[in-house]
Amino acid sequence: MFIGVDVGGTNTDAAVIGDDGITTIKVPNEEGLAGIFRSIEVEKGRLEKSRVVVSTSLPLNLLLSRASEFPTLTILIPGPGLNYEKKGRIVKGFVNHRGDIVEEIDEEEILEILRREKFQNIAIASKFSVRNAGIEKRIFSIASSYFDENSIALSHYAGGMNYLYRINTTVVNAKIKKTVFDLTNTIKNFVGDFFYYKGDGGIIPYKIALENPSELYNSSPAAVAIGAYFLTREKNALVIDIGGTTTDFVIVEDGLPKIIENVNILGEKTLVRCVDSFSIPFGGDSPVENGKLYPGRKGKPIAFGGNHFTLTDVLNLEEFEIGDYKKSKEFAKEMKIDSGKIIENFITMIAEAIESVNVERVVAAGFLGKHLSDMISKKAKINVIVPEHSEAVNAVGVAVSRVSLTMYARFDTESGKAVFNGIVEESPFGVGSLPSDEEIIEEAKRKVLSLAGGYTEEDVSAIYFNSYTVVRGGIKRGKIADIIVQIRPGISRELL
Amino acid sequence: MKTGIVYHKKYLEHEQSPTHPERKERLAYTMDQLMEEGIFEDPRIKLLEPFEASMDDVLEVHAREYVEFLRRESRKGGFIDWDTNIPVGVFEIALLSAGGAIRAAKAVLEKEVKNCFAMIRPPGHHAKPYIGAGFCYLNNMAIMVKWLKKKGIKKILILDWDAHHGDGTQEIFYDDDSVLFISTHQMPLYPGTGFPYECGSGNGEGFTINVPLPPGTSDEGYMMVVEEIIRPVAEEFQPEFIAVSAGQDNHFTDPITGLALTARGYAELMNEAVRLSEKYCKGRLVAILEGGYSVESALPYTNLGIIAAMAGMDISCIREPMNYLPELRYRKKEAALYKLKDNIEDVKKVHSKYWKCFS
Repeated sequence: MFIGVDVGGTNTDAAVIGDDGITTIKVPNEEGLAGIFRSIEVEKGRLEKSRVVVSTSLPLNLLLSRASEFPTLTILIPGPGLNYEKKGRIVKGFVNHRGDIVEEIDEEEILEILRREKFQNIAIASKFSVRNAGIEKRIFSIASSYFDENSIALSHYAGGMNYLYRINTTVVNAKIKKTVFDLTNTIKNFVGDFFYYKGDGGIIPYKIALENPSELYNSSPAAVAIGAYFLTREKNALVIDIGGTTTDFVIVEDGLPKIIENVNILGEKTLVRCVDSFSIPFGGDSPVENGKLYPGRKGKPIAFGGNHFTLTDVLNLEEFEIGDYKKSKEFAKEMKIDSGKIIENFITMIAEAIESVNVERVVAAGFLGKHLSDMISKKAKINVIVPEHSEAVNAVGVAVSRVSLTMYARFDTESGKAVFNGIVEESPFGVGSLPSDEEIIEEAKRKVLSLAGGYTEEDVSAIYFNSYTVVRGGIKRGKIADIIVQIRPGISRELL
Repeated sequence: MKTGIVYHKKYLEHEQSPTHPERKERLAYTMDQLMEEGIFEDPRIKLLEPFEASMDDVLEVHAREYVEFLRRESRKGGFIDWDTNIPVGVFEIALLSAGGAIRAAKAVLEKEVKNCFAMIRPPGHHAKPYIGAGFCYLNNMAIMVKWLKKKGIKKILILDWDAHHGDGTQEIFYDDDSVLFISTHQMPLYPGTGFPYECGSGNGEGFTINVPLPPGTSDEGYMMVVEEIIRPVAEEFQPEFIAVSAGQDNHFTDPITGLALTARGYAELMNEAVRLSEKYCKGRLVAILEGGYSVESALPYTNLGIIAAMAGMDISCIREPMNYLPELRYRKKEAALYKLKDNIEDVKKVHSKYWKCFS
């Protein structure tokens, strides 16, 4: 069975996909993860026998709203090159472009910083750490006497070249690593092994996420996009997710969400890639006060037993019957409210967002999706599809996605080294050998599948490849190849 | 405004043979360094796609017979000299390289970028009108300068600081007073030309300035040439455009030369070119990659130094790894400065009748 859990801003949704079809569950966040896992575990052992995937933007939301509470000590080992002194504390040491440690660190210099500075988390980033993480690991072992190991982030896990972006990513990771670690332990109590959902629509074993938790950024919109495609098989559409706090928009192209690279987090560009989504800050729980709709969320709608009069309650004043709709009407009895206008304004905002992108079809999801689809269709003059389980498309997307990984590999047969995301291993090709490009690509593909935990999928591709012969003293001494291989995000083969 | 970098992955494909000094590997390490430094994502940098130079632009410099020979031999593979064979397909890459230089000049003239580094291969400054030589097929610099002249630029200063004398470029503009060619180069070294008395002919007399450098010349020596020769002559010439043949074989780790410039010295030199361009020609400056064969130890740092200086980035951390410094101590010769002073005096003597600053 495939189980997907999406922890949103208001509710947690779950989808269970088995031989008997899809069932979805929604519980308010107050019930916590325990609530949702109890609801899924209707029969004993169900969770254990399933592939469980969790999507959560909680650690990053926490960070974005309270960044100043998580100051980070940043230790940088840039060596020669551009000046990074504004990004952190520069210390001695250098890994060069070949992945050789050509300048040693000064342990005393590092200890002095650690003794003096008082921080709760630390980011350690050396230039070219993706070619050799040796220096970062040595500083990690020094820093672990001063920091909880789950509060130390190393840049080579962030993958990818671009030192500045890798520093920024590592700082984000340092701030949220502990939170994700604690959350992971909570989830493991219920399910054992599981996967996390990434912002690009793929899933990764939780152990990988622990070292690079910024990959979880923006996972909900990615899940909605994949879920919408799975349920409707519309390869090209705009997916609208009308949730409690916000309304999110994601473009699906050829069955996959549109991806942006180098996402800006906390005002800095990072190596994070995620779906290209945009939002308007209004959803079903957005409050209506003095006859006006306000952004965000203060609490549950009247119709769902809350204390706040919201957009959902306004809809109940018209012909809708959402939740305990009579309560909404009762509450509004004394109020002077132009409900038609409030709804019209909200629908206009959505229609304008649809017009801002060039699409022919819209998939409406989220808790209000099915209620508002006709109005959106009329206003935006566009075909709007409401899939089955429209209120839990996100959770369906989480359940059906497949393992996706990106691996940066370098084979250097002159030095006999192979490097996979910064971890140096012995080259599978002999020292001084000149393997063909095809042999190298095959080796990298084999490696990425083994990193994915033996989970086999066919869609592994090399998205970058460059190789050249190393010549010293006029003699060919070996070959260097850089390769990025990726298991692309998509839908699990078993479910296609 | 931004600094442009002209680059195409095809420039990585050219290779005379896998063991030739001017091979694929040359730019590969540089690209590693630039990618890791985030150069291509930096808001101060604009990556520009080159185009192939047109036949009209190439024929402004090279004889039709030579161009046809190169095109023909490039189909099956051929030979120019012991350093320069013609690998299959080089003609198209040479056109893309020359076109890359024009692309850089065009971007600067049209104010698409403030200045531009053409990170192109194969190099060009030894190529003469009628034949290629010394790893060069088409003279990228000369093709670009002729193009600039067609666009109405009347006074162009070429600074050629490759370790080898830019004999091809010198020959092409030897009698042209609109192009001031200043070359600093190691002597003795290939191609064996570039004496101070080679100073131009006809209208161009005085517009070729050769400053030979003794082996072991270091940052201080280069700055001496800047102060004694380049700055005063530039002031007097008042160029409208500055073009640099930015060879990097003057680095102290270069395996086929004997100079001792450091990456930092290289960045300082480029800073000087930027200052001159800002003073005299509204910042119009193009640097073209020429030689440079210390592919692992120099090029990643010197190319970064060029780009950082051109883009106005902080160059205070541009240097080589510490473990290369023993090599610098070995290569740098204090005595070179004394010999250089004599050479500079020779240059001033030859040119005192052409330039007021030396009289």
